[in-house]
Amino acid sequence: MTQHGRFEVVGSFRFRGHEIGEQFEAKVTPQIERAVARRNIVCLELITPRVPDGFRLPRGWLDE
Amino acid sequence: MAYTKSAAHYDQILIDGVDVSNAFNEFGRTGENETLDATGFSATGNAETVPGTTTAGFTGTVLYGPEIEAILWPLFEDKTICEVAWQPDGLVTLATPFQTHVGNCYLNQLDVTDTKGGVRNATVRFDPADATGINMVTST
Amino acid sequence: MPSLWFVMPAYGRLSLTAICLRQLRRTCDSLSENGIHASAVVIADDANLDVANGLGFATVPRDNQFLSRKFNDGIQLALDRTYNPRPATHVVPIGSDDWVDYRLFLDLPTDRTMVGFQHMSFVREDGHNLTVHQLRYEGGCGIRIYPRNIMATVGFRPADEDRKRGCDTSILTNLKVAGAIRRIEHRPTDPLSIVDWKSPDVQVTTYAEVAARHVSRETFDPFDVLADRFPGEALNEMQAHYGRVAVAA
Repeated sequence: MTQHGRFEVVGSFRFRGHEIGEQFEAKVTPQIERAVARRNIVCLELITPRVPDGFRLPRGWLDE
Repeated sequence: MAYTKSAAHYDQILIDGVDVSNAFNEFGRTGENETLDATGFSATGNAETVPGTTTAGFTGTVLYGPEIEAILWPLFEDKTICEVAWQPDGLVTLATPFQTHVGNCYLNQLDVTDTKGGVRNATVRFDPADATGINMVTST
Repeated sequence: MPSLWFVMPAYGRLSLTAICLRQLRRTCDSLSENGIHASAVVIADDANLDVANGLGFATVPRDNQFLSRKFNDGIQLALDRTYNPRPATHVVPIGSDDWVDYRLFLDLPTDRTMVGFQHMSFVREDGHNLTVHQLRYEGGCGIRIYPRNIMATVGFRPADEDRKRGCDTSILTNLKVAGAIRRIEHRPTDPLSIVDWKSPDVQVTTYAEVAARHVSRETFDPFDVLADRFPGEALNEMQAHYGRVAVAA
């Protein structure tokens, strides 16, 4: 699974549609790495995106 | 039929993911098909053509300062491939479907010009870096 | 037995979404009667989840910060054995304001073929006008049929995690970059098989923008032309939603 991270937009420019101060999750790509190097964004943590807890399967889906 | 007409105020420009819209006052996509001669014998003697190789890219005029320089200069000097996306009216609420012009590009022209008393600006040109070229993609 | 999940992110618009979810239940039941075990997953953080639960659909609680993440959650729940011991064989992303004719999904693609549809209909925000359109671009509209093995290539999360719009393009682009799709098949369909019910509270000049950008044909009253295609109870509900007086059959 490709590495993902949670990032925050800092500095003077919006980044990929995210406002300054906004946090987002994204795959770590060369573009992301350059943005971190320029301090357009900062990496808060590395993560693995997943289905959140509390999900439900369809009623009776596993019974058939 | 009524044709939609509008003034350009709300263009969104992303270079390497960074929203640089407010730094540009001119931006656009160029596109041209090579013209290949395909003239055959005919009763009219008129020339005939078929379209050949497509060349495309992005050009623009950017209001140049240290923040823009920090983004553009490394792309130019290091010859780095970056994604360029241009969405007319992208800064306001979009109707759906909407179009974006996007491509992986090299920044091959960065001409910075100072005119005494004028705003420092630079002319930029992005050329496609792969066979995908510059595409107009539509999202619903 | 082949199986198919519709993946529907939802947010607000409770009345319209409930009508579309009930119609989706009928669509899934029709597919199951025809040999394709069908269901749906709704990804939301509001009362839309209650409606989905009541209809027997899967649900995922997720806020509306990034639409693409909701699509990824639904696709992963449908297909990833980590979460679903009986993964579906196909997924279809769908909007919370869409109706689809179940017959579009009777012939499911195999191998690494994605099926797209380039003809669909849009209903104007006041509910009085339906226009059919051809969407002349790769993949057509966002309602596409993806076999499970295509999504497996990208870990069942095909879209960029941080998109608020353009999710269908993100999904297709990432799958192509990963080499997951071998072929894109555009199936010719009756445009009345896919209907997008526009809402006045969401977009600005949406219907007019669609008409301006795409090849359009003559317009119709939606409740006349769809009468033979979708159930009367669904049409009556939608007609009431738009504040139009339903005409007794």
